[in-house]
Amino acid sequence: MEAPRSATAALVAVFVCALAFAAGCGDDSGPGREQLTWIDTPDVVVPPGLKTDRILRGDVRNDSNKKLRIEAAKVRVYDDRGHRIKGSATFAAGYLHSLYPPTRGPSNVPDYELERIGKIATIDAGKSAQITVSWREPKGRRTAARIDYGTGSLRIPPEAKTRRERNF
Amino acid sequence: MSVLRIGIVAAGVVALIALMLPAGAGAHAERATFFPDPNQGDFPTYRTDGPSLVVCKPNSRYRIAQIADPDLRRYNEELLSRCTFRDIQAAVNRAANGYRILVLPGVYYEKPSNGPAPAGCEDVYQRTANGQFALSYEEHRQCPNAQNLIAVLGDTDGDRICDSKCNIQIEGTGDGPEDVRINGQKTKLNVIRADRADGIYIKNMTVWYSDFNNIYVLETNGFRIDQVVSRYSREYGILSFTSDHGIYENCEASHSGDSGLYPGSGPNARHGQPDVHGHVYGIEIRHCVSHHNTIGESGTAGNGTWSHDNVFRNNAIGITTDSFAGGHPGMPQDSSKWSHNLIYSNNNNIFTDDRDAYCQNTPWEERDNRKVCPTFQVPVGTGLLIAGGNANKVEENYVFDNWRNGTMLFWVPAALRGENDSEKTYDTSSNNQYLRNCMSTRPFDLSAVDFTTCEGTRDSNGKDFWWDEEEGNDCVEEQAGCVDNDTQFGNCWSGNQGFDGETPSSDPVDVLLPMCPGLDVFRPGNADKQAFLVPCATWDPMTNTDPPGCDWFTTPPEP
Repeated sequence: MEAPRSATAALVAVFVCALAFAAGCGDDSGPGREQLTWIDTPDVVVPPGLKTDRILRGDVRNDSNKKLRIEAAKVRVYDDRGHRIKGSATFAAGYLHSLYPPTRGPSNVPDYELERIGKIATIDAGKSAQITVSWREPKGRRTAARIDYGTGSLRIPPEAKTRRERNF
Repeated sequence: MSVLRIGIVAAGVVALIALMLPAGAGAHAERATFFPDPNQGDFPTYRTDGPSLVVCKPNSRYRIAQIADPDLRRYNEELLSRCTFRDIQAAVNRAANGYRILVLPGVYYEKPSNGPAPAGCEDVYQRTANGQFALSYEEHRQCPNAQNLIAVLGDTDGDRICDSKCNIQIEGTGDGPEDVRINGQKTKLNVIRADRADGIYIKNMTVWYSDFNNIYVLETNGFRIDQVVSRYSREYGILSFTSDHGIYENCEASHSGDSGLYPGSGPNARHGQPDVHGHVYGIEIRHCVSHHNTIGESGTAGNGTWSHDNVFRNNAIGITTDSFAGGHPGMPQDSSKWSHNLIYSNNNNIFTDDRDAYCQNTPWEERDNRKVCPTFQVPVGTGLLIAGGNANKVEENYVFDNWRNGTMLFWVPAALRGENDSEKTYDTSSNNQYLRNCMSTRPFDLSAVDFTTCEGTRDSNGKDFWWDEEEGNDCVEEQAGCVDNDTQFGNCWSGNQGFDGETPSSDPVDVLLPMCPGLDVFRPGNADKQAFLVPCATWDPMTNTDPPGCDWFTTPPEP
């Protein structure tokens, strides 16, 4: 394909994606659209001293046919009205800290170190990774509903929250 | 093959692997390092004779005149007549094995060390300026002051064993550590670097203002830091790494952005067994006070270290040891002991919004000495945290007035330290013993404490003991997979007392804390408790100072 056709095709793809987003892109209930899916219903817990905060832990599977590289820093949490709310994410399986002080590391940290400290996840097609996302619930009746990871999004299953929050 | 030999070989293997990884020392870049042979070398002893060189400043005479003790004043006056050096580094350069360097009262800026790059060192200086801190040993030999105000480098033939400038004693001659002050002026990563400098003895001086370590001991078999005051380091007050037969004693360490004292990558070969000299612990920290740091004492892979008769107070957290970071030889952490320490009032919250803003907006060079900016995140209000450690003993300490928890113990998955052997996933947080500690009780007299009793006034911790309830597998560190060579011990709590004989408070409740010797049965722990820790990993002092889900940075209410 020559260059102009290629550019046209790219524009069409962007447009289609934009339409899909407007139609609810980010909701993983849509068939075949999302790259990551929950393997099981994630757990959501409420830290004892932080009643407005939530911590979600779950395993996601790469249902696309290509390797995905997800950056924790690009993960966003949105409420049920589409507003972004304060959140953080990590792919680390537990608490740890970086080898380098956060303000004094080398400019180019290799991927294996970024993976170790949970700042990125590289997930082969069909494989899974654990993700922890925390957020601060918005005031009022709104609630966190969607986790955007840059190239797609995951719905936060309401049953995950209701199931666990009752325990606290 | 003996256990010790296995340990040495394993250390070598770890170090070889580390050659392919970004190595770490105290969480900063360092060359790949190797443990000294524990059956060689020993703890240095103080010497009052032997060849010596004298260092002084133009105003030393005036300062000597202020010394109250007439004998000590006369001794210094005699030394002054022999003074031939204005800078400590110059004396180090002249010294041979076994020399004493006698430093007369004065303030030492070591200006020649801050000069431009010598011929042949331009590239090393430039790389350092660019933040590439991991120089080879040979580069340090070639350019000793690229990163260090004072460098003592003892290996000349590359076999990692000291053969030149060994057993050097650098000693302030005043009537206290404040009389000799080495001021790093925030210009160098390290104020004093002792690298493969076996037998080094540093005594009776104050060290200030390093960009990383005020005193840095690396790959050294035999060192002693005695009567040293270490303040205002951007990162570490006194740090040792892959070293053995070392003593920190009679020291005061304060206002460091990471740790006052850091015995990291401690001797790994012993695993609780004595070396040929009979020493179970290769690093000893005693009679020190560490305060107003982010962490009083810490040590990633802080193995084989015995801290006793110290005070850890008014830090954000008193003590930590962990298996978090990759690139630290000797993982996972094991076989250290804390006994007869006072661990209290570690509620100094340096993670407040005000401090965050100050640290974000004030360059290091311009910061107020006493406004510590934290390098890493910690659970403010905690006395002692063992994160992914094995076979440690916490014995007969007074632990009080730490508003979150007196002690914390939790599992660290092996993958987080870069361990890819999946059978080792649960190889941490096993066999730690908490014995006869006095909790939530302030002794009547802090200067005269009987650690065999538990008497004083109530001064509660938030919870005396916090545990994530994980009991790790007992995996032999040096073998692939998880080879269990222990069927006896588990994490356990025995003989501890709360105020006035009460049962110490705990999470989980007391009946769920196993009595010693513990239950040697693997269990994965409480998933919710472990989940509460994870968001704290996303802390960043510039971009994420208050991660949702993490309560570590809020001062807990006073219990």
